[in-house]
Amino acid sequence: MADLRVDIAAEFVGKKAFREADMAANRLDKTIKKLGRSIGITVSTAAIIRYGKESVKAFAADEAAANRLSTAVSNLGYSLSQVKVKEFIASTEASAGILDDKLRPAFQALLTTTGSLTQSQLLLNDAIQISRASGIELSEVAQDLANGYVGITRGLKKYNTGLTQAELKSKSFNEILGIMLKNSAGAADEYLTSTSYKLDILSVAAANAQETIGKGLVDAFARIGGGTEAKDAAHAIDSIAKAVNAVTLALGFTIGAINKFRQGYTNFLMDPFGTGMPTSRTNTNRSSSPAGTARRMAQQTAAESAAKKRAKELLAAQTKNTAELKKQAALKKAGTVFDLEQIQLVAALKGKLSAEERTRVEAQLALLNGNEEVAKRLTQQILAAQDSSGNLAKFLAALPNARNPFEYLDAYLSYLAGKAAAISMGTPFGQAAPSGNTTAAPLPSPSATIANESFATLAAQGAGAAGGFSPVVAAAMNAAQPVINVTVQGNVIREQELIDKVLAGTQLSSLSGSPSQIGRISGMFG
Amino acid sequence: MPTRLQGVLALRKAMKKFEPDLAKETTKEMAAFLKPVTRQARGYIPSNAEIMSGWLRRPNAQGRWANRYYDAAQVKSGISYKTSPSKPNRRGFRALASIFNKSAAGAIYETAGRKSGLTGNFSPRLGGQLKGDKQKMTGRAIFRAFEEDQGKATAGVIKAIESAAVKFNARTKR
Repeated sequence: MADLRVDIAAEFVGKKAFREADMAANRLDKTIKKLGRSIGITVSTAAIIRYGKESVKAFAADEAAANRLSTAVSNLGYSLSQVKVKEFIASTEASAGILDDKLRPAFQALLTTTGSLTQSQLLLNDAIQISRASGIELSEVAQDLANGYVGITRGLKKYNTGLTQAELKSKSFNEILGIMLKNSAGAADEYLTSTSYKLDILSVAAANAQETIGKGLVDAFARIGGGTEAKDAAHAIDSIAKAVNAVTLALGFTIGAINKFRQGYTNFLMDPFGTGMPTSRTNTNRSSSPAGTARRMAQQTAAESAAKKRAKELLAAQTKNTAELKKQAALKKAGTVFDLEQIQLVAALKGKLSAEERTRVEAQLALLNGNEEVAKRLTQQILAAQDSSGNLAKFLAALPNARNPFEYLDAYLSYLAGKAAAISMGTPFGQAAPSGNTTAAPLPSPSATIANESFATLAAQGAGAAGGFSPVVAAAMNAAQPVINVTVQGNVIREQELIDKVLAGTQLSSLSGSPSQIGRISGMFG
Repeated sequence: MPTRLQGVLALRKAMKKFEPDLAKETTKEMAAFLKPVTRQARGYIPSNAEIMSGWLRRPNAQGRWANRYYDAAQVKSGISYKTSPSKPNRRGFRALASIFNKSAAGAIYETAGRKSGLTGNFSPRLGGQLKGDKQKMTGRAIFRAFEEDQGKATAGVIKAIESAAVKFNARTKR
């Protein structure tokens, strides 16, 4: 129910609180906006929080990559050169405008492959130059160079060196690298003058700032979480996400204060008495190099010499491998020289031969070497020489398919049937049976049948004596062409009828006093 | 529209703490300006005989309207005033003095028809006059009385507070 009342006089009590809250919010907003502008991101609280989270992630990734490289460096015997490696990465990042996130994996790939710190640094610079010229990612170029260093040159093909695959295999890595550097010469220097490079520099600065802020946030959150490690920070981040604004604000103030302090401290060092003249450093007669340089240099020298030794061994192995390949090729060639069959043929070719014989030998040699094209051509020549008309070649080409070799069995079975019929009828074989006019045909000769049909085929194909064969061949063909007439008389009975008749005959013989005798071993039946 | 003041609450707290008699005196002065308005508002409340018989109390009534019956005495007793500060409203204002119409039947009589107009079978038969400077300050009882008071109550309350402030300052400076 609506509260029905008349308020006589009222005082605005919320105004002060609201105004204070407004002022506080406005001040916070302005500060955050200022901080946001200084780090170049969207000016909203959510963006600041998001930026903070990304900063922490970037710092974590950077730290992990740095640790990986540090471990690799230590494992390769350069534990005392960690600082130098960091300096090299930092200086390369600043000069080339490439993020350390990309430089570290590339350098690690080269270092683990070559084992040499100086060689890796040189190769990384080369990789940067090649990457600038080719537009291929630095990490990929570095990996290809690392592979090429150990003789795997397949990946170098994409850099358009102008070398064939065989040349890439046969040439040494230094030769290939020289060609690649020659092709990409000046690319890195030209890139330094481009706008892209300036943008890269800005990106690197922004990324480094993000990592630095991320580190600060992690440390701050770790302290808030009551510890010093990242897990404490993670716990704190989860629980105090709302406090990110305040922390970022404090960070901004802290950065400003640190800058002021640093500036004041620098000014004090330069001019402690306010004279306006910079003071000179006092000479302590001590080496400017930090402690441990000698040990580091000794370690580095040892590792470098080990790497050189390994490179030398690698080179020797590659050379040996190449020599072995060459030797094998020579042996293969020599093997062909010492092939006896080939020797004979080659010797025959060197002797006095007719043109036809030379062609035959050459064809044989071609067949032996597997040169099919030459062998076919020479065979054609030989066939053409044997028969100038070319009919022989045509004949050979048009030879029919092989015939059924058991065709003559038909005639043979007919012969057997006649004989069986004669036995069953009790008539002598070759005479007419009482019931019919069966006359057993003489046993045909298979060769005669085949020859007859073959020649008939040849004659049909126009290869008779008048067909253009040589006189000798034609005469032979005419002489071997007998005329055979086969006359089949009588009835041709089926097998079962034949068996029945044989059975009836044997029974009749047995009844008449002459039993049938079967000799299984001798195969006799009578 | 309530008149805005500054520091009145603090003054009244201070008076209550340091000059209790002055605080009581101020309360009485304020009440003297509020009581005529409430009395006038009660006078606008119709008797049971004037109101529709169906809205009067029925012993066997059930449901939501069982307790919303009209009883002139109950409505009149629901019209009152107070001089203590109210709780802050949503906009942050605290009233220094208020006139109330607390009962359900009184609220219905006060506001019926002020938004939709005098239509139907109920609001035209209520009688009285809807008076006020704007819709939310329009009514038949307290709002009508306050409107007809022509701001004398407000002016009197403020005058009472101002005089109390003067007296308080005079006493505290001694």
